[in-house]
Amino acid sequence: MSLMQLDRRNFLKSVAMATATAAAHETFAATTNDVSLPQLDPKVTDPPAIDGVVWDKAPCRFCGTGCHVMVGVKNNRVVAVTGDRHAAVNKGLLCVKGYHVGSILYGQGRLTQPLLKTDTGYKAISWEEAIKVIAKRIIKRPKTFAIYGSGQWTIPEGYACQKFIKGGLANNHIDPNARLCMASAVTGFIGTYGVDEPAGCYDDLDAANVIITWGNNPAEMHPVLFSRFIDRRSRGEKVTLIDIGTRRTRTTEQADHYLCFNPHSDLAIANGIMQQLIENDTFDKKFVEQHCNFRYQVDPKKPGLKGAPSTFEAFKKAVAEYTPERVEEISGVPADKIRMLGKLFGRRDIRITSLWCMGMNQHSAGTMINNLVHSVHLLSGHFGRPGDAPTSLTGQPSACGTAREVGTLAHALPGGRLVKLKAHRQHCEDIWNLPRGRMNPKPGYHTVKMWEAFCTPTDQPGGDIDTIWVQVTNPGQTLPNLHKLFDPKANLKDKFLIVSDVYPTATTQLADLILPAALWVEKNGMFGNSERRTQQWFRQVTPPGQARDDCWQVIAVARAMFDMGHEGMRDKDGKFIFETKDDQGSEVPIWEWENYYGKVNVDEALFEEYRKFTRLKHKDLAPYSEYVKAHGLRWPVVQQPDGSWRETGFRFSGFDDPYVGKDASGKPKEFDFYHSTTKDGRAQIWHYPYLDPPEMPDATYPFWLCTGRVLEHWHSGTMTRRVPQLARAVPRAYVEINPDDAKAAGIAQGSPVKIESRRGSIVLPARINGRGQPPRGSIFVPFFDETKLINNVTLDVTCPISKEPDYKKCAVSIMPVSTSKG
Amino acid sequence: MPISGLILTLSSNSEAAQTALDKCHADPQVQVGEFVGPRRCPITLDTNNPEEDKVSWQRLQDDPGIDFVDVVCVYFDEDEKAEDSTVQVPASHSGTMALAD
Amino acid sequence: MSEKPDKFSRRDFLRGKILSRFVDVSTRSLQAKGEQIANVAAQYAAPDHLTEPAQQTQRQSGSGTFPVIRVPGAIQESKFLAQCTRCGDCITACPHHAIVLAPPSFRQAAGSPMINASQQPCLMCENFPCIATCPEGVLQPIDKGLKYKIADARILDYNCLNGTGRAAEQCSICIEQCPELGAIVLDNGMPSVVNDKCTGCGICHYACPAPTNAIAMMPLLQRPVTLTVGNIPHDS
Repeated sequence: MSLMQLDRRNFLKSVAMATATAAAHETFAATTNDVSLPQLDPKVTDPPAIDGVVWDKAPCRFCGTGCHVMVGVKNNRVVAVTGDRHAAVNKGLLCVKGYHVGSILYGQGRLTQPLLKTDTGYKAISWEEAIKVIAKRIIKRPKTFAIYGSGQWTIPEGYACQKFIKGGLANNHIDPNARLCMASAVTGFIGTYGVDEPAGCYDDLDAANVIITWGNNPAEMHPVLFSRFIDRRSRGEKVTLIDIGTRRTRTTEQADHYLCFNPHSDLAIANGIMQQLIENDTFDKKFVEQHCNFRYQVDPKKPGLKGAPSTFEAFKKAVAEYTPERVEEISGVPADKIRMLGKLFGRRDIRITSLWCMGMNQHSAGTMINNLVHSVHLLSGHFGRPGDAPTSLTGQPSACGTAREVGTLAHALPGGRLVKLKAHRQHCEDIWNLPRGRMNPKPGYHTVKMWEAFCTPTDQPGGDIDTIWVQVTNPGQTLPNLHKLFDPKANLKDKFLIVSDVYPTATTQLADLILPAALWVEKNGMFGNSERRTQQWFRQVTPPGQARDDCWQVIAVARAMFDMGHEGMRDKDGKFIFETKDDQGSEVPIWEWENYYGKVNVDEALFEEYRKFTRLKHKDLAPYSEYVKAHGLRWPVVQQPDGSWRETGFRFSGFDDPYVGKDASGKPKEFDFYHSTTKDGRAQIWHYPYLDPPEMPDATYPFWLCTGRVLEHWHSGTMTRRVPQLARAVPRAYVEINPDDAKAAGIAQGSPVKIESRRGSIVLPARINGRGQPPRGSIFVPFFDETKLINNVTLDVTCPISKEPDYKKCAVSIMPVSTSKG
Repeated sequence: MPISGLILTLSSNSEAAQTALDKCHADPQVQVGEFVGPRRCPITLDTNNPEEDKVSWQRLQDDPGIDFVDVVCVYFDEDEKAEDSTVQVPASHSGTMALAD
Repeated sequence: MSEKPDKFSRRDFLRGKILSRFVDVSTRSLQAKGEQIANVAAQYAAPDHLTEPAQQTQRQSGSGTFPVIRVPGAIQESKFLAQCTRCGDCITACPHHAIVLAPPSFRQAAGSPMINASQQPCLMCENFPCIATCPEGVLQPIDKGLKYKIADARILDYNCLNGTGRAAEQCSICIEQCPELGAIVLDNGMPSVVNDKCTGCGICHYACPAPTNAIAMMPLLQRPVTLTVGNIPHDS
């Protein structure tokens, strides 16, 4: 080498060194918390062997997809998280939230001590004192006490709350925030199949030729599921994606067809598809004849869960008016596109999977649109074969497992039972060994009614809830119309709000008693995801300070009440309702924190008891020990002759579901809706008209407002806003506006916009041509930002059947705000 | 003739880390930079061809005293022989030029 | 992408011409005219004081100049180190607390003002109070029609969520948050920095949500460098 070349190499080396040094400095900050250890390729590598790091499985804490992560722990601290390549759900993939899930434990400001509100502010108190305060308050007035939880309760937590309030207090005022999230999906499934939860599973996404997203944006909200579709495409498979939505999203970018509809007119589109199937005579006659009945609402303005029997002729007549042209008029979707959908559903040679989430659930006709989309699939026979499925996705990790299956709803009992049915109550009383007749036959208050009662003075009619215990959720941010349903509490001195949480939230701001809770792998837990998959994990680190499990908190209060002589906390033999025995048969005082993680696994004990409830609706769960071994199992999980446990991918389909009945020759039938509301093994095809929504844009409030999520944040942001990488990525809420509307209103990119409805107003920076692009006349605001509460603006009207509020549409005005002062 | 700028994340096992570091110091291909934090160390790797670069990189990767090797930049200088031929340089104002990674 | 690498003759390179692209103070007068030709000329004119590459090496390696992201308008590094009195006025003047003292690990740069984009990126204020307040003149204002450049963002593909093949979604945070339109573009699914438009403010680095930050901020080895507002003409 010449001297010059050597010089040049020296020079390049020095630049390389400078570059590497600079990069080391720059990336150092991001890695000092060690949660973000460099990621290995999960497809080829198991979690890396790192000195002193112990790895164990857990489902991700965030959404309802139910991805599995491997959690690396060192010195009682989560130091690494990686996707679990052995998990069928995510095969090692994670979304950006999942990569940072370990950091949620270590955000700024974890609550570590019980805090009681006094005249001079919050006072730190002992757990003994806190438990006593709650127990005394409940004993005094057990009937005006309510529990408000979520689909983030673990299965045993939700079960313990259920037993405590419904079995112990004979009070049914318990509801989860899931009411705000998937209640319409539940009523849709029940109205159609007689039993809740999807028949299909994620495998459908690997088999479908056509995927239709109904007001759904899985590319951002369920990215790991969406990646299955992207994967197939990148391998050269032909998969058609049709996005039916009210704004362009990341999902739209991948779609072959984008059908932009006027909010609420999805009802007309579903009717239009059915009209085409009839008109073209391409509906699946055999499927309909053998497996379906027809159903309708006698008075569409006063609908009921089960409606009334109808006939094919009446159905035909009802959908006849929804010609493509008529649907175009209502929805704004070109008639040709409706014909295209009709043609696709009319084909027998392809498989079609429909996906939906909040777009169809947070809908003032939520139950009805759910029913109609199921009906489209039933009428066309696109049901029950892999790839042919109407599937609702959930937003919370255990919306299915806890809220829906354990039934932590005002009207429900564990395992799909109902409060109002005597036989169901008696079944619970038997399993819980309670005296006959203890349980209350009157359903409790659903979410909106519960908070309305809490925000009404106790001495006024309708003010009959005076204490609410909130666990694992943040209603102070997520309830609709907060000015009406949450804020009044501040001025009602005799109301008492108890909040168990991990961080201060919009809800703790009005709390009278704040209880520090353990989070995710700081406790044992079980979740149930969107595809009926029940998952288990063990505690891997201890919670900070005095934070303790939500489940322990409930059991400790129950025990305090037991000690104070409350009859409800005893079973009919006088024993504590949460009595737990060790292997030797002696009782373990699990209400004492020192014994909670000791000789017995309380989660296992509660789960084994809960398991007895699950057979009625054929949602059979395996023993706890099976879930310890597995990456989740999809129910019904049925024991085989050889003693092993088999999960079920496709419900109601003879080839997979062991509960499908046999035909005359003794072979399983092709399909069997064995929980049919008509008790004849048939599902229900509904007809229901399009009716205008309760609030529509007018001269004063000319815009539609839709709210929702962004990829980087999860729901109210309590956890994700405390992960620096996620908070920095999307620091604040904004309002997405169509460029033409922005121009017309004189709104520039990033400039503040005042959004006003009949209920309240908010100022947010404008985002034009962002990730989501609303059509003219619509705006979109994400709801994660607790400093910008969009729910002061939203409407609190609910679906009349599911009682789920409609966060997706209300009428607002927009106005640029002058920025003369910075 | 690749020159790479790398960041080593050394093992928390200090004995193995020290051994790995000693090896790097002794290796004529490797120039060791200033530590950033207790475990992260920028180095350069100067090798004769891409194959050798890969082998050396793998050797570092496999070293029990090194947890991770981050590649920050690689300079390929493929036209060493032909002085008049052109090299590809990104339109950059910065010091990181001739990047071909 | 349109911004493909230029072709340089290797001989030009060895003559140090490329180094001259780090436009120095001496060429600023040329740039100030804001004319395209002058601008191009400024980029390629070899400033007289530029040392031989070998000497440059000496300064940058080992005990040499430590790479550090300086405040907008900072003059050439050795002069900056010599003339900055560490008075801290720019730190006080910064309304966003983006200017900090270099920590001891930055060796001879320790104690001098710098920007650590991991903590707080430079928001490139309209009136640059940092420059206005500097009593020593080590932060120099530039002319209208030009933008300050303090660093170069580099996407580390192997850390980027879009490049690892492990994240399930398409991430576009750096593009969304970048205040310079078109400075980061999506190229075949991967973000890519257009250096002629990147001011090096570090907002993308600050916002990057990848498990290991995928954007490295490369300090400029020669300063100051400016960008014209709008498109920089491309040399052929």
